[in-house]
Parts: sequence; structure tokens; C-alpha cells
Amino acid sequence: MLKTASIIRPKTIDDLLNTELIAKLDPLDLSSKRVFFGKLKGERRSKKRGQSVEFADHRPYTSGDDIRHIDWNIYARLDTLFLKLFLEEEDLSLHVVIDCSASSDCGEPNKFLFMQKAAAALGYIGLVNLNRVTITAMGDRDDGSGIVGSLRDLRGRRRLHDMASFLCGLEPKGSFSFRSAAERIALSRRGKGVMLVFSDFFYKDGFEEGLRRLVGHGYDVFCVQVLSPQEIEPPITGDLRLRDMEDSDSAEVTVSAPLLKRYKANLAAYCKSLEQFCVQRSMQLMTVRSDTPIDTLMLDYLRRKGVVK
Amino acid sequence: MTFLTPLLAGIVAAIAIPSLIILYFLKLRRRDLEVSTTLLWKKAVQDLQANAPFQKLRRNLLLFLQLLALAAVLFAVAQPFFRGETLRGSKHVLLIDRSGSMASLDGEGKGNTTVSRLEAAKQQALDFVEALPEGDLFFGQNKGDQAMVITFDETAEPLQPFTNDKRQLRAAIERIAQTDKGSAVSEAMRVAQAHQAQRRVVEGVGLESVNEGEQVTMHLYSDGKLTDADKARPGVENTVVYAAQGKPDAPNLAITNLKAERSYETPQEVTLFASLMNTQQSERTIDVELLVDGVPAGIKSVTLPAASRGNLALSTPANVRASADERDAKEVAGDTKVDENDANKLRAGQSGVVFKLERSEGMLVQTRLRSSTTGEALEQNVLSTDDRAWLVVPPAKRVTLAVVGRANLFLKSALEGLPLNRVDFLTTADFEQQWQQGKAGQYDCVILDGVIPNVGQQVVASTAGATGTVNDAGLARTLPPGNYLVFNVIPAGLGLTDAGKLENATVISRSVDHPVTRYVNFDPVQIATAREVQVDPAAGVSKIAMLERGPALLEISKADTHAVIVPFDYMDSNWPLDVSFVVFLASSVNYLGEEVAGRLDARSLRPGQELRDRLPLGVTNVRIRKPDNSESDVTPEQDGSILVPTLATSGVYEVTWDGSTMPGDVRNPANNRALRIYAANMLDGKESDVPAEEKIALAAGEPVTSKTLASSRAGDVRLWPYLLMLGLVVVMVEWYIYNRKVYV
Repeated sequence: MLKTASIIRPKTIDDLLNTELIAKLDPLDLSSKRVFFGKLKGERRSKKRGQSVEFADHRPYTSGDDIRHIDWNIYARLDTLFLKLFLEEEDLSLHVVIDCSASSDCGEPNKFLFMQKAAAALGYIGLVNLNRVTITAMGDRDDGSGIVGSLRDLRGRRRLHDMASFLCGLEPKGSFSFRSAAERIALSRRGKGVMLVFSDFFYKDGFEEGLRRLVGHGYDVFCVQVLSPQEIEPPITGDLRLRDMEDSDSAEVTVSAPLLKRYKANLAAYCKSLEQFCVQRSMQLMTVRSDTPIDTLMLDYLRRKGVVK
Repeated sequence: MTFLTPLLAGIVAAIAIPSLIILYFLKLRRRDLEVSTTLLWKKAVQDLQANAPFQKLRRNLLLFLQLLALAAVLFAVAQPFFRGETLRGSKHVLLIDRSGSMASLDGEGKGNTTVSRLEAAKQQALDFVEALPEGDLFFGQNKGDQAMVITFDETAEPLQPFTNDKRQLRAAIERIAQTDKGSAVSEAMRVAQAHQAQRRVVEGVGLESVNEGEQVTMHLYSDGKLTDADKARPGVENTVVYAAQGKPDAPNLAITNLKAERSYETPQEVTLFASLMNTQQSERTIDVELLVDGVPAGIKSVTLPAASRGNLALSTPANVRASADERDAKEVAGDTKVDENDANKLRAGQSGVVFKLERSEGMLVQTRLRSSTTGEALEQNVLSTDDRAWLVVPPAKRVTLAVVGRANLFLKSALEGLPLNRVDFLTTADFEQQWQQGKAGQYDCVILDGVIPNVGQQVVASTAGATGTVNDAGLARTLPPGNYLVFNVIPAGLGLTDAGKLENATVISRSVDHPVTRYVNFDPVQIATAREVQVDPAAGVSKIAMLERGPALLEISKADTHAVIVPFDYMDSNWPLDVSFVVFLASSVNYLGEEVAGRLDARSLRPGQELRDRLPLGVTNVRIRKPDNSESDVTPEQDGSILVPTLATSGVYEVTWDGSTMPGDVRNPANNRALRIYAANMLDGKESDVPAEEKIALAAGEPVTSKTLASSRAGDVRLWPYLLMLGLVVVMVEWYIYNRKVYV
């Protein structure tokens, strides 16, 4: 919760992903409980029949079908034209949304750095598995859209550096409306896929409107709530004027044992309400501390949730 | 409950309470801290939300406690108090008796201890002062109650004028010291009234109120043994609160009188009379011890009758002491009835004891009362001052006489028959010469027969009629210091005026009590030519025999001059031929030469009197040693007279000096200093009659009955210290709660 004393921003991909982590990430691939149709040929088996080596089924020929797919052996035996259908291998769309507001830039370890690293790791997995990776940063923008930047439809390992430079270039500042940002994201996304939203979900105007807009449209939405250890156990005392980093709103508190107790109760209740909201809308919520190692997040938490396999 | 300064408290409240609440809005200087979001904090501390000011104050225990503390302080500022019951009026006079009887050890001290009545009275007065309502703490109009402290015995001494300064009042009360004098309250009341505003003196009545002046409450701390209660006027509008000290059945044994007489024929025989008194309602047997110059010389056991009620008023000690004239007057007026109060009064039992001694030298005699069982100090005796008495007995001595003027045959032959030491017949010039040489002091008495010697005594302007004394300068001579029997001359400056000759006069009356005229029968005496003398009433001259017009014999008694004056020439009468002339000469010479010259009376004093005496001329280094062994210097006047201001306590006073002595003085062989002893004795039946009076009848108003002082001690209960204390406690609780909230 407290502003990070001194932060070293990542500059290259090596700052985000070290080789050890990459080695651990390499066997992973994105997954979704739902199978979506891709746009491009990918490495994912699709429900669609398409061009691949894997046979799926036969169906009677109708005029207009590509005669190249006629199973001549069956025609020879049955004297009926049948088409050979193959399983289509398609790509999966991965959309990583990170909260780039000032409130992310706090905590020890820094929440935003954690989000950057997590996004990079997910993006790496997505890119190496030939999925379409889109990264969107929500943040303070003069036009009020709430979208600071977006990197669309990256595919393939080659685009790894593009993704890394985009992530390294993000600067958390200001505040935004989660509702309008979510609206913009929902309108702009194409196809179907997996969406991971990294944020602390502390929005003054509420998280409900925003999440309601993100849900549906063929996306499997995972909310990752990142909290710093200081937000969970505030190490503060005395008479304080607490100033909100985003909107400079202030709250005067005299920190006392009952107050801390109430704060923790409120935090738990907030997280609970967020989880409940997500569950009711087929979204999944994960609350992680910013001091969680990235490999634990990827290999343990996300795998358990079925985001990666 | 009453408030002394409600307005002030209101003003302070109007400032302080809004200030506190405003301070609460602005109260803390908080540390700024940036957090990711204030969302949860705001939820957690809804009451800190700054939207509505009074929401801040809602359920704020600390503010509540602070307001409570402030309220306590504001109440303290208003100075609430509960009124005590008896402290009405704003001015009080504390009249504290310090007379001899107040030394009685039957006063109630703190914690049921027994202290002297004076100590008990002082303690009660101090308690009263402590309970006096104070003025408000600030600059208000209420200055609090004022009190004045007057102590009295025979005279009154204002120790502290009206003030509300309790420290000064306490100091004044603590300054009061015991004396052995009598007690008279009327002067104290007059002094008190003199300090009252809007009063004026009305001749003869004392002080009377001009108009309804300020009311004063007089608090009389006494045992009621007041000689002049019937003359004491507290003032019409004033009230008297009487706090009786001591017990009404206090036992006391006292010596109320001590006299010594030498036999005329055998002067070495001394008879001592001591009057004794018992105030206890049972018979007491005690020993009376006699000490001569500090050596026990005799002891006698005496049984004193019990005190009883309803005796005749005449038997009271005060009446016993009343002069014969007064007694006669009362008898004549038929004033012997006993009023009911008197009948119920306890009359002390009286008795006496007589010692006979043979001793021609002068001596200091002491009598003291001793327990007949233990031989120690008396038991059941509250007052010890009156258990001892001293008396200075002059040496047995025959008179040395000088006759100045004509050596008349009749006079000469009359004196020859008297038991005198020596008679010198001197001319005026001889006497004047002897005076210059300082030898005149050898004569105990001088007869001036028609002359007044010029010995440089103070001359006064000629007064009409002074005969034979006018010098060339037109100034008249007065008598020089000494003892004189004066014939046929009227000294100047004594308030006597010669109003002309009186032919064929006879002596029509004489004082039967006076030692000079007691045995003189003037009936056969015919005076051919007498003088009519007019006496100034203020001159202090007593007439001891009267002609048809004016006095036939006069006595002048001043500190250093004592004279019997016969204003006519005895040779112009048949007196020298009568036996009464010889009797008169004998008694006059004896009276002047022995009793007066011996200063028997002058050396037996009472506390309250001043010591006034004459030392030989030219003495130096005069010192007086008081009964408490303190010594001080005394400076004699040019003529040798000394004056020691009012003696406070009884006991032996020793005056010592370097230089010549007079008859009766002794010389201390150790340091060769002359010594003269004076004895001051209480010898006051009224003071020794210690049982406290519950009721005093003053000259005006109802008799004042003693009140228990418990109620008057209940002064105003001031609440502000407790309120301040409460405020402090609340602040401490608030601080504790604050700390617990923040740091635990």
C-alpha cells in the first residue's frame, strides 16, 4: 500500500524474464476450459474441421466442396462421394490486461513490477505457442478512455521483444475509470480467447461495471488481484493523513488496534465480494501477493486454475 | 449551592467551549502518508470522514472527556460553595480574653487534650478565621468577610484591624500572650466600635451608632469573668457571640490577698495575713507554705470550706474588695438584695491564714499553696498563677524626722514624746544645704512649718493664694520630692487655691478610715483664723478633714511626693493644747515616714499596674529583672524616678543599680549592686474564681449565652479545589484512553 521507496524499472526482456524462468515456462502452453475457434492456423486443435494431418470424420459430398478432399477409396468401395474431414489446428487468443494506474506502483515488492513480470511470462508462453497475444495497459489517459496502450495480435517468438519493450515502456501513473477502460477493451477485442486482468481492483467507482463489460464475448476471463503485503498487513501507526496516490483524496486516521482490525475485515470483505461477483459471472479470481515468485504463480497458481497447462 | 463569580465563569465558558470544539476540528497535525487507495480506510474510519463537521464529533469519547474536564474547570471558575450556617454578616470582631483566669488549664484543646483556656480560645479563633468566607479568586467585588482581632485584659489592645487576610489574622491571634491581669471587656467593645464605620462619640454614653452602620458580629472568647460586663455596650446593631472557655465547675485554690503588718510597739514583729479561696464544691485541706527570702519559714494546714450556692452577694470576692465607702453607700441605699442570678451563682469558699514572724530586716515573703498529702503542687487546681504570692516587707525602722522652719515649742515637745529615731530641727537654709549635699534622703519625713525650701525644685507660675512661697521672680514653689507634713502654707502647682481667710472655724468632719485622722478627735479644736482652700477636683488631692468651708486637712499623693497639708497655722488655734495634736502628729509621722517611705504599697503591685518608684539620685546602670528572668535596662529620670510600663505577669521584679541606696534597699555583696525588690501578685478574687460563666449580662440587650462553636466552625464549603481536582482526573483518564487507542 505504501509507495515503493525506490524502484528499478525493467528495461529489457531480461529484466522481466530470466533464463531460469524461461526454462520453466517453455513446457507450458495456454489452456482454456472452453475451446475457442481461432482465426489463424495455430497449434491448437480446434473443433473446426480443417486442414491438418489428423483425420476427424467423413461426410457426404455436396456440390461445391473441394474435390481435393474426396476420399477416393470410399468412392471406390461404395460408389458414393465422401469427403475426408481433418481436425483443424487453430491458434488461441490471449489478452493480458494490466492496471497501469498509480495505485499499482506501490508496495514492497512493487505490485506493478509483479504485474509486468507476470504479463511477460504469460505473453512468452502465448507467443512461443503461436497464440495471438494482445496486451492492453489500463491507465490515465487524457481522452478518458482509460487505455494507455495496447499491443495487438502478436504471434510467434519473434514478437517477444516487441512485447517486452511495450511492457517496459509502461509507466504507472494517475487514475482511470475501470468501467470505460473495460468497455473499450470489450469493444476492441476480436475473436475468442483467454483474458487475464491484473489489477488490485481497488476502484473508487467500483469493479462491477467494468467486469460486467469484460465478461462474455467468447472470452474466458481470469482476474488476478495483486495486493502488496503492506496492503494486507499495514505497517502504519499514529495520527496520519492518508493520501490516495491516484486522486489525492485524503483520509485522516488515528491508527489503532480496532481500526486495523476493521481495515482487515473490510479488505477481506472486499476481496470476498469481488470473488463472489466473479464466480457469479463465470469468471475466476485469484488474489496474489506481490511477493509471490513468478514461477510459483505460473507453475502453481495459474496451472491449478487451468490457465496454463 | 451559591456561586461567587458566575458571570466570569459564563464569559470564560463562552470563550473556552467553542475554542475547544474548534480546536477539535483542527486538532491534529497529522503525518502525511501516501497509500494505494483510501477506499478501505475510509470505510474503516467513517467517522473521520470530513464531510460533515459534527459527524467528526459524533461518539468521540475524547472530546466528551475534554468537555467534562473543561466543565469542571468552568465550575471551579464560578467558585461554587455551600453556605455555612452561622457566618452571616461580613465583619467580625474577635475579642480574646487574656486575663489571669484564662491561664486555667481546663480548656478543650484539639483531640480532647487539655490546654489553657487562652490556648483553647486562640485555637477556636484560628478555626473561625479558617472558616471565614473568602473573597473570590479574581478581581470581583466580593472581598470576603473581614475580621478584626482585639485582645483584652484590664485594657484592650487591637492587634489587627479589619482585614480579610487570614495570614495576618492568624499571626495576630498567635501573638496573644497570657497576662495575669484582670479582665474588662467594655474597652475592647469600644475599640471594636471605633473601627466601625459611620459611628460617632456621644459624650458619656461611649460610642453610639449614628445610623444603621455596618453590622458587626463580636465573637467573645472569654471565661466570662468580666468585671465590667454591666458596662459593656456592644452597640445596638451589633450582635455578640460568646464562646465560653473552661468549665463551669473548674476547681481552683487561690491566695486572694496577702498583707503584712509590723507591730507599732515592737516593729520586729511581723504579722502576715493571707486570704484563701476554694471554688470546688467540696471541702479542701491544703498546706500554706511560707518562705522568707526563699527559705521555708513555716507551714500551716488550712481547711477551706466548699463553694456553695446562694450566699449573700456581699460575700463575693469582688464585694469583699469593694471599699468601705461603697459598702456603706450600698447599706444606706438598702442595696443588699440578692438578685436571682446571684443567688444561683457558685460562691467560692473563703478562709485565711495568719503567720507571725520576728524579723527586723526587710524581707521578701512568699506564700504558696501545697497539697497537704504530697507536699507538692496542688491537685485539682486549674490555675497555678494564684497559688503563689510574694510580699516585700520593709525593715522595721523608726522614723528619722526633720523639722524645717520655726522650732515651735508645742511641736518640739509633742515630737519628743514620739518613738522616733531622731529629730533634726533645721532652718530653711540648713535644709537647702543638706539637699544640695544629697543628705536630705536620710529623713523619712520632713515637717515644713510655714516654709517651703528652695531646693531648685521645679518652680511653677504663681498661682493665686499660694502663701509664703512666692519668690522675687513672681514664681511659686511646689513641694520637692519626698514625704512632708506641711503647716500653714499652700504649695503651688498642686491644684490648691487660697480663697481667703476664714474666721472662727471648726473641723466638722474627718475621714474615719484614713490612718492620719482615724484616732484624732477634732471636736475641741477651735481655729481663730483658718484658710479657705479651693481644691481642683482633677488634682488628685484627697480631703481628709473638712472645715465649714474648704478642707481642714489635705493629702497629696504623687509618685515621688507624699504630703499631708494643714493649711492653717496651728498657733492660731487651741489645737496644740489638745491631745489630738499629739495624736495627729504621731499618726501623720508614722503614716508618712513609715508606711509611705517604706513603699510598702509601692513595692506590692498587681499585674496591669505600672512600676513607678524613685531611686536615689545619680544612680547608674539600672536594670530590671522580670519573673521570666529576662532583663532590661531602665533609664531613671533626672530626679531618680523610674517607670516600668505595665507589668504583664505576676512574680518578683528585681531592680538593681550601681550607686547609693535608700532605706530598705539591700546591696548584693557579690557585685556590690543595690537591689530593690517588687512583688506583683494577681491577688484577684474575680480572676481566681475560675468557674466559667455560661451567660454574660451586658449593659445593653439580652444576656449572651455561650454557644457551642461547632456550628460556627462550619464555614463555607468551597468546591473549586475539588472541581479542579475532578478536571485533572478527567484529563488523566482522557490521556490514558487516548494512549490506549493509539498505541496498544
